[in-house]
Amino acid sequence: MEAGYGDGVPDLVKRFVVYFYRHIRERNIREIQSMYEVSFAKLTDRFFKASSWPPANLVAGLVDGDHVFCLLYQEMYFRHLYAVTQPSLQQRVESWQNYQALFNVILRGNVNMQLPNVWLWDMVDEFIYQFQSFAQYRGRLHEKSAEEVALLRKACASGFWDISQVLTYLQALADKSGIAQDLSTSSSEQRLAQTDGYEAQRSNVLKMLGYYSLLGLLRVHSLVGDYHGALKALAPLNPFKRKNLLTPRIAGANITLYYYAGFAYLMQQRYLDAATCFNTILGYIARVKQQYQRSSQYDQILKKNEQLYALLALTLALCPAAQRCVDEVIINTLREKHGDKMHRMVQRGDGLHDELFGYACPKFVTAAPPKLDGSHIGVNTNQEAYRLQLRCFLGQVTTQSTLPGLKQTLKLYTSISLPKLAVLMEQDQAAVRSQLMTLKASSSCKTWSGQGDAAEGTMQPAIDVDFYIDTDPETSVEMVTISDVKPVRRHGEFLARHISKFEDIIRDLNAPPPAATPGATPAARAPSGPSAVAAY
Amino acid sequence: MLDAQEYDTSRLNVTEKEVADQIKAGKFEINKALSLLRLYNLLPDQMDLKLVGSILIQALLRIPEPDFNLAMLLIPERMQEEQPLSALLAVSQHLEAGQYREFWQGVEACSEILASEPDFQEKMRRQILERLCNTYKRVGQNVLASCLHTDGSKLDSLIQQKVEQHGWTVSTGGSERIITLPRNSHNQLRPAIAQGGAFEMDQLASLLTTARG
Repeated sequence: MEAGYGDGVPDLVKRFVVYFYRHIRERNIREIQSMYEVSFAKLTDRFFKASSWPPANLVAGLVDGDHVFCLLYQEMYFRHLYAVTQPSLQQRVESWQNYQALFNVILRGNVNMQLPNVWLWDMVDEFIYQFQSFAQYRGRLHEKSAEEVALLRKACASGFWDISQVLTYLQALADKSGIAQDLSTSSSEQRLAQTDGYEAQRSNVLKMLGYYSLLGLLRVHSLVGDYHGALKALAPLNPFKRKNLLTPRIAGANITLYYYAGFAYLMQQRYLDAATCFNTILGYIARVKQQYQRSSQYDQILKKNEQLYALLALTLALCPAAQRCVDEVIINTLREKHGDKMHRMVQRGDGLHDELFGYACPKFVTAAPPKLDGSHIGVNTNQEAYRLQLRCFLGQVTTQSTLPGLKQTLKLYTSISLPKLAVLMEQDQAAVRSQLMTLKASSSCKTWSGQGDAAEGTMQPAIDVDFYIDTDPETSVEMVTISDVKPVRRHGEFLARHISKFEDIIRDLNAPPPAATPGATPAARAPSGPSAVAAY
Repeated sequence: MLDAQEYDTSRLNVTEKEVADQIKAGKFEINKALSLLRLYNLLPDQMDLKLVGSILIQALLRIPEPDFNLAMLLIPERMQEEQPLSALLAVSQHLEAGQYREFWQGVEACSEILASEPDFQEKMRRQILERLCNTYKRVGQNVLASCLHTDGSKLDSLIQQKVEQHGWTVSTGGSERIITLPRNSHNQLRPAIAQGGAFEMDQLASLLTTARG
């Protein structure tokens, strides 16, 4: 509920707007970033915890009616609105029109301001989030009255939040920013990495929006189940070419990249690639978690962390050989979180897959809007998209559901005849033969092998149980011969890592105490030595 | 990057024609087919089931490429339950599970759908044969016959051709002929590779400086 503004706009808010405008005009990046990240959050907490910020027309007077600033302000206004309330159809349409106006201005190439990269990332992220939110909203037909449906029909007909429009904007930003050229040669790539997009005389806005739009395209394509398209749209970025990636500087961007890329690989049965992606991002989150502890994104990061572990559990359950792509530390954490679930999935091919999938998958949307002509009153179409993806995923699981039992039995022998195997597994020989063929077929995965964009790859071995079948010439009995494939234990690396860690600790303990600060007594510093040693 | 036109619904008819031409010319390519399926996703009422069926048939021939699954992920559930898609889906599930007897039965049952691809059965035989060659070192004639759904003179001529061109050898003894398949990396055991701890230079350097002082 909007309180009576006008003179009710708090003074602090007015001052914030004035200074913010001035810093943007003066291209003072550090100040803009501090106001954007810190001051905005503080003012929100103090005045607007449950309501929206003052609408743009009330603050336009403070900034000489600057059109571009009003668009930027409104972007933040709507983002906050979505966070605290359930926006109405009218507000959703207004936000869409704001994004349209803002992107049109930027695409025309007329801006010469510089904005912090984190804001530009948030813009793209929020744009897609609002698209997702609208798709969910329009699917919930059963909650709507006939007039609401009529309004909705009008909105959809005008193309508000239509997927092709969303994709067109993201694609246009990516094309016009020339980001493909910047990433095509290693020297320009390096320059981009060093300057972080901020270059002295130019604007970073279009270029960095282009960069983040590539991630946006990856996400939107994945939301409609087009995984191949998602990876192709991501080019020239590649999750395996990590050297000059800019995404690690913003946690949200990096997590989006690896979560959606890994998920796309998982749905395409490219288990080795998926495991590599999840491994990279889980290691990253573990390293940077502390830095974000006080930020508003902390909860989001933790939730994504849990979802990523669930996806990794699914990947390793379907392809145990992918374990070699994952660090030991992460495997240990995975065992703590999902150990018994994985055990059940691997040993018995049990039906836990849909539970983990449902928890960890993105919120899918249907590309086409639901029929709004009255035939679907009382229906919720949001489940359709999810069910399709789940069905395809479970199809993969079902094909492999007989394999865990087979692998268990095979691991006990070095060679066993087919008739005997059939008796042990309580099935007929033809069924066991089929399963052996399936097992052999699942022993290789399409994997990215250094060439081309993220969607390319060659078949690489992913063997869990190595075997072949021989037929005895005299008796025509088929004999299955199995070899041991032991998991590789990298003792050397493990020990070296821990030795360095201990060396660092000892060096810290032996370091001379820091210089005494005024007022602190030297005696207070003494206990830190022995207690630190006792802790270890 | 993908073209911005990929989601332009006015291109639906043009894309349909392009895909149909590709299939007819034997130059099927998954990216074009996926573009068409993306457009169908936006206009589900205009989906041409027969054309989608042809796409799926082409994808089946290309296993182990994941084309079939990629296509299925873009086809709405209720379409998947209609013919000819549901028949093709059932056939593909048998194929993936290695259940060749059921697979060939399914193929017989939907022969009119598969009529658009005249060499379907031959190409599938080649695919299944490849899988057999990866799994078996020596295979009995009966197993070969049931997996490939051939027997009698056709089977004999196939075996003869492979003996001449691909190095198969046939031995008789016992009740049926046994064919020895050529060796490849899949149908023999890999030697166990001892992977010692290979560490990076900088880790080794820090260890050595520690050991010294």
